Amino acid sequence: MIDTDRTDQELVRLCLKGQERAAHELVSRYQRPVFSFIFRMVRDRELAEDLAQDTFVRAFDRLAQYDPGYKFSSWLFKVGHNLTVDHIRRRELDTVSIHGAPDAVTSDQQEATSVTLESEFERPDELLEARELGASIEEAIERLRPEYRTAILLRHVEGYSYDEISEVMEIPLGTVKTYIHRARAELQDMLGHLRE
Amino acid sequence: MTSDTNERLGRHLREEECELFLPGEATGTPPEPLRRHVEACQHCRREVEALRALHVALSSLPLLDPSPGFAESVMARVRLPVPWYRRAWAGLRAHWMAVALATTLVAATVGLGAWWLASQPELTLGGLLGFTLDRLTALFWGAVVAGGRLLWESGLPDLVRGAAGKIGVTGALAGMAGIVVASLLTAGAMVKMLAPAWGAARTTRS
Repeated sequence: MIDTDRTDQELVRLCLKGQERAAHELVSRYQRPVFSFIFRMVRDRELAEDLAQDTFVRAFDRLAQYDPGYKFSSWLFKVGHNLTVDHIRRRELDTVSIHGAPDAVTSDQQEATSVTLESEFERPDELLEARELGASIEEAIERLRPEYRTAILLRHVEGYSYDEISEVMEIPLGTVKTYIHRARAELQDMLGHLRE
Repeated sequence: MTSDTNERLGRHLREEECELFLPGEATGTPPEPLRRHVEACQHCRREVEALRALHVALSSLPLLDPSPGFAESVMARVRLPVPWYRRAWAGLRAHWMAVALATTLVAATVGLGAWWLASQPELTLGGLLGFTLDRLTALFWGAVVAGGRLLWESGLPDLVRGAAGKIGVTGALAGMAGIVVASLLTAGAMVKMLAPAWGAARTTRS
């Protein structure tokens, strides 16, 4: 029986002994953060799912290389980041709205390609306001350069420290700070109308 | 900027100073002069508030759900490493008859040998070890002599002597140096090839 209270490191040790339940627990634990991060990088639901799956498969393939001295989530995000960046470099991406793919014509197609958002809002006006703000920010993030996008998502959405971002992106700490600083400045410019 | 704020800091906050007011950016709270300035300067206060609003908005972005069954799709593709003792156990279970037969044979041989040794009152442990060492030494020297004879009969010494005559002492030395260098390079390549596996094994153990 796999205890959901086990630490990531304990689960990794069990995975290395071949316990599939431990692997399933790790997937359940990180599927939403990993998928969210990748989706916001590529803006394509189907592609994001494929890349998120590849992230977990590659991570488990290379589990023996994981150093338990580091956070498992950082290592997993590093794998996901590398896969996503490789993909972005290989292919010019079409952008997709969170309300569905641009080629979705029928309501069924729109529903199938849209993203389910977890809502904490009870009142309809709050929900609407948050959606409008969220949609503006999502669009602004989409317009950032991929490296700025990665850094700002890891910092503010995933709550990583500068050191951890440096580790995930495999770039110097100073570069991380520059990326985040510039990303904030660009986002503030793009979202200037919300300050009124 | 008002003359009042000019007196306090002499300028507006720089962007990186405004960022110190975001959660987790400064160790502790932002420096006192900056805080006093922000309290007094409407312009900088608006900048800091805008930055905080951006932080709140970004931090409030929801986590997105992948399709139902995502975890199962991943698990269908995952191949977890199987530890050596599980592989060994699986091998034992698959070939249990052969394993049982081999175990019986080894046990019978060892048992019979022990019984025979125990039934020889004149045989001491020291005597047995001495006898074994003598036999092994004789076997080793026999193998050395046989190998030398084989080498001599193969005509290799004549071949080497002929080659040395043709290429001279310098050439022979250069050839030997080349062989040494090639051996070192081969050893280096092998170490490089095995190092990642060794490192991975150490990481797994730690």
